[in-house]
Amino acid sequence: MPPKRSVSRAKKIKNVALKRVKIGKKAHAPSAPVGRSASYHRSGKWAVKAKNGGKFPVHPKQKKEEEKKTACRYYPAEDIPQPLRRRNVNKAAKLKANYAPGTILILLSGRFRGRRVVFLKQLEKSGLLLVTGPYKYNGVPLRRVNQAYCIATSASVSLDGVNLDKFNDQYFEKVKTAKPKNADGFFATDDAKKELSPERKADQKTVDTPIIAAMKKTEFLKPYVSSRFTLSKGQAPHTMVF
Amino acid sequence: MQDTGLVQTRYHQYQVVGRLKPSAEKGTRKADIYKMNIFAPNKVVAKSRFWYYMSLLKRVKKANGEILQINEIFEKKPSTVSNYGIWMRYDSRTGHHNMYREYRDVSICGAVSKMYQDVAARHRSRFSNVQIVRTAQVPDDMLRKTWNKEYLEKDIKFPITHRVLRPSSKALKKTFVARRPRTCFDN
Amino acid sequence: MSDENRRLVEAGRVCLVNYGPLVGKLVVIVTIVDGKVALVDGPSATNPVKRQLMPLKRLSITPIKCSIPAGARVKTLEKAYKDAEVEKKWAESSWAKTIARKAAKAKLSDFDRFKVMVARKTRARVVNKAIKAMKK
Repeated sequence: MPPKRSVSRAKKIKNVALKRVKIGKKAHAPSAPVGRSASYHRSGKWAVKAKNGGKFPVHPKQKKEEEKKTACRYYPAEDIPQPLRRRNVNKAAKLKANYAPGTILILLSGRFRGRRVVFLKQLEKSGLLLVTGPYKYNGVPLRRVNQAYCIATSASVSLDGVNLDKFNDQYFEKVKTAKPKNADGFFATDDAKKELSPERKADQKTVDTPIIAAMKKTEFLKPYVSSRFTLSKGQAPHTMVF
Repeated sequence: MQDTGLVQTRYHQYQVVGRLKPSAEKGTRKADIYKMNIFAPNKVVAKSRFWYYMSLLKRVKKANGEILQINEIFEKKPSTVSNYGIWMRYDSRTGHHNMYREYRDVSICGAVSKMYQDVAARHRSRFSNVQIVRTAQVPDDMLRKTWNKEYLEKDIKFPITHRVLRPSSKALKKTFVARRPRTCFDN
Repeated sequence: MSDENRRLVEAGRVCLVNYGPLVGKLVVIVTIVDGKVALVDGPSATNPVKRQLMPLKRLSITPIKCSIPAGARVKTLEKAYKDAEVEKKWAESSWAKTIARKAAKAKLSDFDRFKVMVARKTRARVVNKAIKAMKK
């Protein structure tokens, strides 16, 4: 049998609670001054003020960044396409192994398709190939071509004495002419034929002259370059040797 | 590596050695070692066939047996043509049949490959239906099949009278051509 | 036709492989296995073929023969091959020349093809001129 309790459990809990209250009251010293000025004095703020000329020291206010436009609280009714951030940079294409300055290429697209031309150099920025006919032989001027649309042949010409420092992508950029915006201007046709600048003509000549001289050294190279490449019956370019 | 153009045979000969797993309790199991020559496309199939025959012949399953060794056996003289006899048994749709077949080849594996092709064509039997009982090299005077005896003649020669000449590779094959093929080559 | 000149499948017969990885190589029939397959060997020093089985379907039979017994050993075959001057006879044949010509033509570069075209045109011009003169 359990021993007889002198006090009931509920009463005991009550007693404990009472005890706590008694202890709490004891902690407050009855002699401490109570009041606003007294507590102010106790906080010691007056000492800080006295030290800083009667004012609290303040951090200089930092300039806030310009406030961003607050986003609309609601979703837009229509989807507004946001352009993706593009990180890719267009790199110049790598020159194929069988392309070397002086190689004779066969052009496969554009208005000079089928023409055999001389490869001069690869342009740094765009990776396009600078080629020339020579103009006198097949009518192909100094121009840029994409190497994907060329076939390199095993024939080549020496480029000794050809100065190509002048030619870069900027050289070939088109000069934009502002067109009149009114209706008459829009329908008006450019009757005046665009003349090639004499500077360009001179450049063509200076580049072509040594190339033509070099070509004359190899027999049949001139008619070869002036003729067009064609496929005849039974020929398949992927099985042929160039 | 230079392509020697050698045609690999479909089947290889393996020697598989195995036995019943010896038991810890004395006298309960007798672990005799068995050796079997098996023709199979690869080692895995060879082991599988080993257990197939062991369960039929010796009541030993893969579950309570072990394989001790497996080797491929190669032809000793793969550059001479020999006669090979194959004693075999196959399960047709109606029953079991025993058979003896003969092939001329440079290796027993080549002969076995031919046999499987042959039997598949003539009897519609698959690899799983065929059991090779015995193989042997057969001397010329012991050959039984006439179609093999023909080629034992000393100075045998014959023309190729009719054939359709193929292009040198499959890539050059044409479905439609303007001309009929020339088939007569006996000149 | 006499049996001498007839192209037969027999031991010692030189054949040209016309299909598969060994296409274009010369081999000699060593043994006839059956009506469809032969054991062949290419003893050439420059273009050897390992002794192996070959379907007759892949072989074009040449008129060249070297005298060996059926199942001849490698050295016997090599000697017979040399004695019969197989490679020389083959190179002189119009069959081999056609193959060589075709191979050379396939190797021509674009510029070479152009030069051939020019040469053919020049020849035609000369020939036509001569024919015209003869007709008069």
